[in-house]
Amino acid sequence: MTASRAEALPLGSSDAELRAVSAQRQLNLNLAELRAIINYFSKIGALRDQLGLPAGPSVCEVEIFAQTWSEHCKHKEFNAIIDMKLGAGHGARAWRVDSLFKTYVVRATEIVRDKYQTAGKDWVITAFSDNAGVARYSDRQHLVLKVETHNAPSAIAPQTGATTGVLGCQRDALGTGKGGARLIAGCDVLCFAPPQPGVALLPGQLDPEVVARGVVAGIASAGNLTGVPTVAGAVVYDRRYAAKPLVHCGTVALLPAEYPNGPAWQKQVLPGDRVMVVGGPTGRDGVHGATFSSATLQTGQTDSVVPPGDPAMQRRLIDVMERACQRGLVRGCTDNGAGGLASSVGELALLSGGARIDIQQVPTKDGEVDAWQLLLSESQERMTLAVAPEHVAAVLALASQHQVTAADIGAFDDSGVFAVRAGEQLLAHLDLQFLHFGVPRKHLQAQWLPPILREPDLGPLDLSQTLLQLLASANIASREGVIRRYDHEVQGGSVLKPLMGDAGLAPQDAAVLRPDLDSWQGLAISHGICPKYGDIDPYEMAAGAFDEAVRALVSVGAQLPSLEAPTPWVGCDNFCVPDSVYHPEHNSDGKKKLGQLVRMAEALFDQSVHFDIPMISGKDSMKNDFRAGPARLSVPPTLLVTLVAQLPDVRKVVSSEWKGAGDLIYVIGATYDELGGSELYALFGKLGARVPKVRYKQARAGYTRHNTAHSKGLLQSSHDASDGGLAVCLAESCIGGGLGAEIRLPTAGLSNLAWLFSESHSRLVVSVRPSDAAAFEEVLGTYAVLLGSVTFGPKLRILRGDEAIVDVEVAAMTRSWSMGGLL
Amino acid sequence: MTRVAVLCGLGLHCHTEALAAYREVGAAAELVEATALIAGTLALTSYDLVHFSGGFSFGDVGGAGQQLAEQLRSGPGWPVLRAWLEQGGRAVGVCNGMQILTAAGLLPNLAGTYTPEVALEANVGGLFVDRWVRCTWQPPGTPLHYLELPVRHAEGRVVPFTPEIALQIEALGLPTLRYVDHLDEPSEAPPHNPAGSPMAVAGLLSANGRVLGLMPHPEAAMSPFQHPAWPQRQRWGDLPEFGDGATVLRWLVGPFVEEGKDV
Repeated sequence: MTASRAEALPLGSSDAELRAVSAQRQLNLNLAELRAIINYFSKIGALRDQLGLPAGPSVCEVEIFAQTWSEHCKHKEFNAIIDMKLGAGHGARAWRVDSLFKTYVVRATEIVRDKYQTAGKDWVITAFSDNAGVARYSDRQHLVLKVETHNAPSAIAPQTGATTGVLGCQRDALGTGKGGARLIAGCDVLCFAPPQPGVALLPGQLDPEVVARGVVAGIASAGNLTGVPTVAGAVVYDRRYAAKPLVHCGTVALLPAEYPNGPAWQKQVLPGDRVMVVGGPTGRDGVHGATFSSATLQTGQTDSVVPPGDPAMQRRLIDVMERACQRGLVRGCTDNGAGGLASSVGELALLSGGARIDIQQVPTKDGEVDAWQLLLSESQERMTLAVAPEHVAAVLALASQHQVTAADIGAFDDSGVFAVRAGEQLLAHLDLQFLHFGVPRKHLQAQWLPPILREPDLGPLDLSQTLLQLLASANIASREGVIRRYDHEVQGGSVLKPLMGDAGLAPQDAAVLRPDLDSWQGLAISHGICPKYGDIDPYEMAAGAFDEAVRALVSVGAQLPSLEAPTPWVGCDNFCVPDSVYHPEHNSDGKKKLGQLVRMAEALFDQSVHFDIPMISGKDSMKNDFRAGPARLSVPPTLLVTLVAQLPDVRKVVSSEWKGAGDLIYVIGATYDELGGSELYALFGKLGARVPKVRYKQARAGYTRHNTAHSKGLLQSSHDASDGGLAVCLAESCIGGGLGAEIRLPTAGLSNLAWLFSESHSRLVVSVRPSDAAAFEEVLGTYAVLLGSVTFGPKLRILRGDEAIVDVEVAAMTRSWSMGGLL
Repeated sequence: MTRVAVLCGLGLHCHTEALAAYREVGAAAELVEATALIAGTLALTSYDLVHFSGGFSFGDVGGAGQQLAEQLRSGPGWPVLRAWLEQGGRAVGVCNGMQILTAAGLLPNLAGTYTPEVALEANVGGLFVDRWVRCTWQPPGTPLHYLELPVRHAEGRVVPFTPEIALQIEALGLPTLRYVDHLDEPSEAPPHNPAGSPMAVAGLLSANGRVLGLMPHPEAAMSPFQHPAWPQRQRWGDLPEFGDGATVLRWLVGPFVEEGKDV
């Protein structure tokens, strides 16, 4: 092959020309970004000529910029400069945020780490710098945590999109540090629109039920076929998720502390190391995935941008990675996700200071593929490895044994350049620093004005019937139809499964795992997500999501971290919001949406610092909208908080169901008249005004006392009160244990509705043996209220004075709860 | 000490817990690449028992276990495996392992010709199911046990190719593990028999007694803390020392291989 000059891509110079090129090639680059690229090339004319490259960018180079600078890869909005205004009139506040990510997420983690570092007790190893966060687990192993989102692909190709989401997040964990972490758990939180009979779909929009069923099938396939147990998750319904479903895919892994070639958490790419691609062959699939998922979905987008997933190939890739890394053959690696090789090689090249690859060495799956397509292809199940030259043969042999393709495609160097050839022909030659750090920052406007709302009057209600209706409602009903399709027990480590008890009916607050079968050490995984409160107050919504995740882990028996007892807890945050960039015509409420995001980030900061729980990884997804002509749908701003806490002995955890008749029932934490955004109001199509607020000091005090009672062995059951309030919480403990309860609510104070259905945060319902009651009350003091006792009689009776305001058979509650699930 | 080769790789992924389970019952177990068995490079004579782990070999594309069975039958290791089994070697397959053994014709092998005689078809519900089931366990010469074990499969309905094969399987007493309902009667329907397997078959022994296949996972029921009702049992002082899977594992490393050593 003779070396011809790479094809140039003229960008033009006028705004109109630039916009046209960006649209035509689906670059999703804005004018400032395109001008920065033009400016870069204008200064290096002599070098370009010397290299035999066109003066302006080549096709390949423009595509590399588009992927590397996509919102998906560079998080330009989460890192933007934001002018924020809160409120109006006298009490208004205005301030400038220099990057939401640095100000609220990274800073919180730094504060927590500093506090513990000073005491020599920091448990974080890497946060936000690798594909997943890493924290201390034991002398021999580190914990790895990552939660990704795969919303846009799942919207147009639900099953494939969800499968590749799970597999992609697995590879993030697999590609952390030197690589090869043992994947021990998956956790998937899904947000769907409920089926809406009679509501017409927009052109190009999939039926919500088709989306939901496809996504669940895709997750089941990915987790089950790779042998990674899907142990935790949630399904959240809101009709606005018809814009895009939110598909959060989480992976928890354990990384050995040491490999033969050094600490496993540390990537070390040296000039001279070979660039290897291992996994499935590369095809045309998924070209432009990063730019596509950084944009609003529109009518007419097809599923061709979503690459197919092959979980069986991924399993073999996992086998190869575990073996290669344990033998010390790999110095660093990263997965090929968004942006394909252009991103993965480019990122690893930052560690050595440069890289050059020959795209013709990449194994392909279907004949003729353009070089730039090979470079950007998002064909799944591929890892990019940095391998010392003497180990290349061993990696190739290992891959071949496991029926996985592998190739040596180039070398890392310290040239400061990322260079791509196709055989003799140079296609791209880009300055690494400019490629990764040259993207112009955005400057955005945000504003949040608290809405003016009122409490609804629901009129007189039959509270027993209301409880049954709530148990059967979309957000509360049993998730058994989803749970049993996931293998949640493979690897043998499940201790608290999603459904416990002889009848398999007891839903649990958190998943508890024992990853090493020769040890009782383990960990608990929980999620917090409550987008429904965000319409009233996005700050309280996000604070509530955090508190919900903390509450769930406290409930099963995880001890909150403190300087005296620094139990390692770590978290991962996932922000999914609609397009929040203000535009007078296309996005007139953009300032409000960004204002909501700022408030959410503030709450995350406050909670993280308050509870001493550092975030170690996270992800933001910014364009969760669907547009069809003038019609536009947007998801509600959503924060998912995923927490993992370590447990010294998994045999000590507490489950949610009643254990024995006669046990006394208490509620820890105060109940307020906070029905705003509640499931009760949602049942009647109302929103309300008084949203549950997190009262940090009270919350922590209650949790600490729960921790003490638990460590003294005083708790027979513990269940967190969240959706549906106290009544639903009590009902679930009855259903799970097959036992009833007789409850006497205090006569003074709150209304019946508030007592039963208010969703005030930081509350846990526990049961205690009568013989332990005195000891329990001594620990809890005023933080617990005695509610009643567990009964053999299979009924939930809730009395106020002499009146039974709720009186339902456990069998009836079980029926409603079991039949209500939409999947 | 019973020597066990636990197969891994190519999509078999229940090897970690299987390895731990065999060690728990005192066997000398080690992980072995399935590729080595196929290639005939595995020194089978160093083992008393080969364990085909659960998983999804090659993603179950083309039918559960089919591709790995095909590679096994067409590879250099096939005659080696058969000769070893005929000289007293023992094989057990759990879940995907059982699917591979039946697809390869190693189980039940009534005719002695290593041709497939039963199919493992899709569960009656058509979906993958993860659920704990109750079973009767009675291999030859062993008292009846009731066991609670997890099943996790999408293709677990044991369907003999012909009515004659079905009759022979029954006549020889090969179904060593059967699903039972809440009254401890054999069950042919979900939820007690999640696959809807006829004759309540959850596990089968081969006609020559050398190969065992189980759809439920005994290796994932070794500890009492793996059972979904352990918190209630703990409260009432009913927590056993071991999970029910240990009963199966003890038989595998004991009577099952002992018989082979006499051949």
